[in-house]
Order: sequence, then structure tokens, then C-alpha cells
Amino acid sequence: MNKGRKLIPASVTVIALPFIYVVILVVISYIAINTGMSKISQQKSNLAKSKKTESVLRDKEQTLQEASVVITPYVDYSTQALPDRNPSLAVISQVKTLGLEKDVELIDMAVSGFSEATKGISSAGMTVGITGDLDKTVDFIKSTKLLAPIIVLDMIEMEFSGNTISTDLRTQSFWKPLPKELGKISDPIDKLTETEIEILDELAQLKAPTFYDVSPSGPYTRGNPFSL
Amino acid sequence: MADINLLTKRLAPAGSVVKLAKGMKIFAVVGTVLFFVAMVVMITIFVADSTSLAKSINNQETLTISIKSMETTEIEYTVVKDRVSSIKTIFDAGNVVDDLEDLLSLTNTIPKETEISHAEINKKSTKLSFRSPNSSNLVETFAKVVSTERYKTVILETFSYNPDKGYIIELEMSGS
Repeated sequence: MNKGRKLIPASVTVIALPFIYVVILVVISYIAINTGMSKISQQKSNLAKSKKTESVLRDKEQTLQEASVVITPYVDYSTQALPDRNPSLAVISQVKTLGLEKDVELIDMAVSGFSEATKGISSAGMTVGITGDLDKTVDFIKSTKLLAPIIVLDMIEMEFSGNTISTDLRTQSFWKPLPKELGKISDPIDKLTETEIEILDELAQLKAPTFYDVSPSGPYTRGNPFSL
Repeated sequence: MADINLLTKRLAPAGSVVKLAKGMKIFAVVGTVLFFVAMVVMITIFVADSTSLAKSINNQETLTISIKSMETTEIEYTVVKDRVSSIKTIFDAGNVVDDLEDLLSLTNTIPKETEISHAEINKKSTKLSFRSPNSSNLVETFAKVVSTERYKTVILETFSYNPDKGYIIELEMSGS
């Protein structure tokens, strides 16, 4: 009787093996599919990031290839229009030359102070006094828009006396330090917009200053007059 | 020959249990097949993605070399982009030269007898002082000033009369 009690019932024997197999299959499937899906998901995420970086680099390469054909003269135009240092000397020279060209008499010119950088752009104020007839005065004023470095007029005051007009102009010229770093190679590069291309075309029409840099003179070391 | 089963019916597995065991066996077989199919699909996807990733990384390296070789162009492009965006900011702030055009188009329409003595243009408004020799000229001049569409607001700042000089007017105009 004791031996009979120890016997495993036939029903259990029949079902035990398939049951254990199914349990093992379910556990292994769960672990394998879970791990597999996680790996695939991570791989897909890496692939998406990589494709995005590749796309950015491809756009950047294409933009630079297109730019390489035309960009060099634009560097000159844009840095002449907005130099990296105070352009007051160049502006004075430009205004004097323009006065001679337009046949107006320059009464006075004075640099009237500097303003702090806003968005990195600093400005220098200048007042200009001229006399001439109306047509020449207007021509002179309009032509200030065609000078490089850029001059913006804040105020025009005209005093009419017969055919002669005395005009005081309050102008501003600008400068901004050059960018100091390029950024990461994988950083995207913005294409020039239509507006920016139009501005560059305008800058190409500006009259460049005849001089830009004034190099300091001396002190120089004196040569030995006795050396033979 | 008839089947002989010496076991008692009590020891034989129940019919329902045998059916369940058979069902489990079928489930196990189908599950195993599906498991291997799933494994093959997952491995295929993983390998395909790994290949694409390796190719993409390879492309990135090629592009990086190409971009590095154009560093001079990139420097120039960065300078131009920086300058032009700042120049746009400067242009957007306005230039009173454009307002001078507006004033000239107004003064060209007013009667010749009207004598302009002073004009001041700044970014907010334009002030114009003039002398009218008589009232009919004054009315005509005002009519021209008011009818112009270039200025939305016209304020009469000063108005005086001198028997020798006529009417002396100062206007402040804005909103062009």
C-alpha cells in the first residue's frame, strides 16, 4: 500500500513533460524576444541618429561645394561693409571723397561717440555738415547708401536759404568682431536665404574705401652707420 | 487479438488529461517553430540594421574628410553668414534717407510760391517749416500735405502770421 502511494499518477506523467516543455518554451521565448526587440530597437535608434548626422554632413558638404564657387568675393564685400574694427577713418575718407564727387562743400565732420555692442554690433556716431544746392545735396545724401563701410543716417536737418541749403547729417557706422570658431564639424550649416543673397548683391554694388588699414609708423631701429 | 490492459481503470490517465497533453504537445511544436521563425526574422533585421549602420558610419567618415578639405570655404561661409545677418539687422533698423524721398515727393507737389525754410527728418517723424505768402497759397499747400498718403499723421506745431512775410507754419508729420 505504501509503495502504491509513492507511484506518480498516470495523469501527471502524461501531462508533465509537455507542460515542462511549454513552460521552458514560453520563458525562453519571452527572454529571447524581449532581449532581441530591445537590441533591435537600440540598433534602429543608432541607425536613425547616424542617418541624421549623415544627412546633416551631406547637406553641409553640398552647401560648401556650391558656396566654394562664389563665396570668396562675398567675403570682401561683406567685411568691407561691416568691418571687424571701428571704421570711422574709412568712413571719413569715403564721405570726403563723396563730397568732392557730388560737388557739395563739407563744412565739418566729427566723430561723436561710440555705442556699446548690441547683438555684437558696435557703432560710431558721426556728424557731417554740408552746403550745396538742393539737387546736389539730395544726390549726396542718397549716395551715402552706396558707401562701404555701411553708413546709416539717423537724422537730416536742412536749412534753406535761397538756392543754398545747409545740411547737418547725423550718421552711424558699424563694426563687429569676426567669428572666432567654426563649431563642430557635425553641426548643421544654414543656407543663405533669398533675402541674404539680395543683401549680398547690394553689398557688391557698394563703393569700397580706397584704404582700410592704417599701419602704425615707427619706431624703427636705427641701422649702424659704421657697419661696412 | 483483443487488447489486454492489466492495469486497473483507476491507474489509467483520464481522457481529458490525455487530450490536454496532446494539445500541449501541438502547442509546443507550433511554438517552437514560431520561436525559430521569430529568431530568424529578428537576426535578419539586426544584421540588416548593423550593415546599414556600418555603411552610414563609413559615409560619415568620407563626408567628414570631404568637409575638412573645404575648411577655407567653411571659414569664408561662416564670415559671410555672420556679416550678412548683422547687416540685415542694421538695415532693418531703418535709414532716414528713405524718409527724405517721401519728403521730396511731397515738396515737389506743393505750390512754388510756398517757401520751405527748414526740414528735419529723424526716425520718428519729419518736421517741415515753410512760409506761405497768402491764404490761398496756404490753403493749397495744406491741401497737398493732407492729401498725401505718405504721412498718416500731420500735426500743426506752430502757426503764425506776419504782414510782411505771410503765414509761417511748422508741421510734424509721421507714419509714412
